[in-house]
Amino acid sequence: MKEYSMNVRQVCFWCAAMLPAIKLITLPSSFAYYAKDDLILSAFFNAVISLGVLCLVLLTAKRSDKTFLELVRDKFGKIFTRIFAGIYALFFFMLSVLFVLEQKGFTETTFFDIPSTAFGFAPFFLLSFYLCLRDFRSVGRSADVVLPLFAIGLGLLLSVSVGSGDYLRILPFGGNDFSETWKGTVKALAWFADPLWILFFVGRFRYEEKCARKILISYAAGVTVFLLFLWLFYAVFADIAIRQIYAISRIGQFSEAIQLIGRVDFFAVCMIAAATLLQAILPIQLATKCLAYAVRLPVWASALIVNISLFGLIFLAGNSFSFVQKFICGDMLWSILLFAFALPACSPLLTIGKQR
Amino acid sequence: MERKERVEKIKSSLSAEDVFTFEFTTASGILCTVIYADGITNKQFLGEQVLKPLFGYDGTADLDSLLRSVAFPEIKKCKDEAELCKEILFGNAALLMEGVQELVAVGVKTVPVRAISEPPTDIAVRGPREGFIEDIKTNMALVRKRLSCAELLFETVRVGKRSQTAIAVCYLQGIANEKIKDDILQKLKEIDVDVVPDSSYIAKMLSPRPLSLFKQVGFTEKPDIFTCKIAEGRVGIIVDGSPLAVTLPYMMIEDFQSAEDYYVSPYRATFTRFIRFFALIVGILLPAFYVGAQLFAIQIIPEDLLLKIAGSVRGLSLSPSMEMFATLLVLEILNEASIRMPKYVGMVLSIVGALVLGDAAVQAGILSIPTIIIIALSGICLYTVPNLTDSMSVLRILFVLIAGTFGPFGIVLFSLFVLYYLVTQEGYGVPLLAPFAPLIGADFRDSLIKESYMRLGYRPQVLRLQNKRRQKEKK
Repeated sequence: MKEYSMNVRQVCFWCAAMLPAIKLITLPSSFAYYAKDDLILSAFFNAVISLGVLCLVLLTAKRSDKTFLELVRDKFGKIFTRIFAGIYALFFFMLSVLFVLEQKGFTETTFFDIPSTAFGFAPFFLLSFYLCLRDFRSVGRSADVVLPLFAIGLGLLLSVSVGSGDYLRILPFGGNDFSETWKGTVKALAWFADPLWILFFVGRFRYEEKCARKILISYAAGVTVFLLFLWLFYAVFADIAIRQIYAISRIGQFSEAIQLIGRVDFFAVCMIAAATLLQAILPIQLATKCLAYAVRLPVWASALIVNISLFGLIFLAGNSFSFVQKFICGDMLWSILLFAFALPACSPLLTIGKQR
Repeated sequence: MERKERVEKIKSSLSAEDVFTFEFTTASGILCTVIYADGITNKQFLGEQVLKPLFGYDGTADLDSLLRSVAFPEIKKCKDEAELCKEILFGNAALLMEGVQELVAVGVKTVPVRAISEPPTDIAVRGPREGFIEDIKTNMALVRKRLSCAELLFETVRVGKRSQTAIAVCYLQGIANEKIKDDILQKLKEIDVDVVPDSSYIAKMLSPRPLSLFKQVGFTEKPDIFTCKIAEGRVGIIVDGSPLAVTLPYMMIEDFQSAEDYYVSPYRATFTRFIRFFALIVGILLPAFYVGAQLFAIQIIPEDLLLKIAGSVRGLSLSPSMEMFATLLVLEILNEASIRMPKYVGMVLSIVGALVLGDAAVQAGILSIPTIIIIALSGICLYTVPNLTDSMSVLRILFVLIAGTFGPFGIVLFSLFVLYYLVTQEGYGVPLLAPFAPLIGADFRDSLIKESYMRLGYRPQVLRLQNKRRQKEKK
């Protein structure tokens, strides 16, 4: 009998905590930049696209209990699968650059009063290396622990900031130029590559009755939390929203309670940061696993290669997050559309003729 | 082999001066020899219950007839001289008779034991006050007294090449997971050490990761807690010479539960468990956050407090992280010294350490008042979960060093590292962080939350027991 390394609940938790958490850092200001007061609409389009692809990914999970790479191997053979895994390793690596640079900027702004040295962010790679050595069982169990942390953190952050907003600023709804709103959607696709993460969880959890429904509801709940946060974000910052790149570290500071008792919201930010870090490390873990599969390396060697390369690239890139964002979400958009949306959407084709 | 030859053989194996030989003749003229180790053999008992009846024996040299004349139930036939030697060293007396081929050991072992008293750890205001002592038989009796059922089994093995320490593996048949019990017995049989002075040795050897900073086995000095854990389906290990019994498999949540939780209202128990959990987090992270905030993120300290701290730390020669590290080190030294010192000296030490030393250090401008307050608070907080204090105080120092180098970001990263490390830990197939990671809803009823005992109808699911049902639930 197949031993599964995750369970449905852990996938649900991942959808409800880690996936929305990573979107809370720079994405709100990016949406505000393109879609202005229609930022919720812009994000909603993203959510609909991701939900649609996620449904197809879950169809794959329903039909087969094999992992994505095993399905590809069954269909196209070992050699092709190794090349395919190598390409995916590169894609995950590219996404990692984006997410890690985002984390670096967030970290330097939030956790350091004075600009930190390059050394300040280096321990991230030690953690990332350690996590890369672990299997999917650990990924699932970390979701069990981090979901309550994220929930408490976000709850605390929302409770201190909810009184500082003007919630009607978002009106009139739909008044913005639609092409700009859509542009916001397109530019945010990298952060909504969620079906891809779930695709790589497929075959590692037992598909049970109502499993798809549970995962979809969890994902919808996570997205709803994000949409509500966007509303709060725009209500608090309004016209200066586009300049609030790292919104979660700033959104609570206008609260009167904060003025009196100090930045308790900082602890909430730390809790949310735990969830964002785990999600930022997930593509690095997947890149490690795909590379190990592609070139038949031991996992530690693959993890070492990926993390050292990433470390070098991040420090060469310095603070050029916006440049990297433009490159990945603009010039390399085709790769996101292909690897994060089109291929996962086609994944049920791999299971044609297969029955559980 | 003749009796005389055997006696010579045994005496050559046991040449120690505390091993005595006594020869006598029965009324019917059968020559007998008794060999025993002085100090651990109950001589009065041996004389009255064994030797006296044998002196008056006037029958033939037949073992069964001889033994029938002895009014004593604990008679063991040994297969060879080596086994008989072992019995002598355990405190039993060897009995050799002319014309009888069998080798016999009489169970007259006696060891000096202290009285049963309340253990210094696991103190409960309400509930039983008995504690285990250093004698395995007494400890087994304390367990048997509470679990008078046929399913309670003890399997004794001897560990230690030289100490031959008796170790009793205790479990409820039909309830405990057989695989776990077999694994433990197998591991015990494979242990190759010279001496087992305490159960901590055995605990290390049964730990899935003996080098881990975190505890891997449960310890208790209280028979009531031990019994409850056995009744929950765990396997217990009692080591001769140690008042600390070991329970396996272990989950970290066990250390947040105290015996008293089961004797007070569930609301109070739940509240105190949350307090313990909160205090532990504060105890570990508060010094680190203070250092991190001072060095890297002053914004998180309220303005008024910041001014006070600034006034207090002005003129200090140590950096915040060094100041905190040094103070933590002094706390650990004081702690270590106060545990080892005699009680009356310990009182003086705490006055000198806490009052004189602390006050003088502040007056001299070596330490700041906020640091002393934080260290004191952190120290108190960690002692709310005494079983975890050892590992958590090491963790606290690591957090301070990391906060001094990388600030709050380092704290977040290191917390994630610790969390990830803990979620991957398993012992005997049971995750260390269960029932939180992996989340097991059914086991939540007695985790941080404590439901009424009447609603705890099922034993912990995570232990994968043979019999999961504990009692009928009352809604």
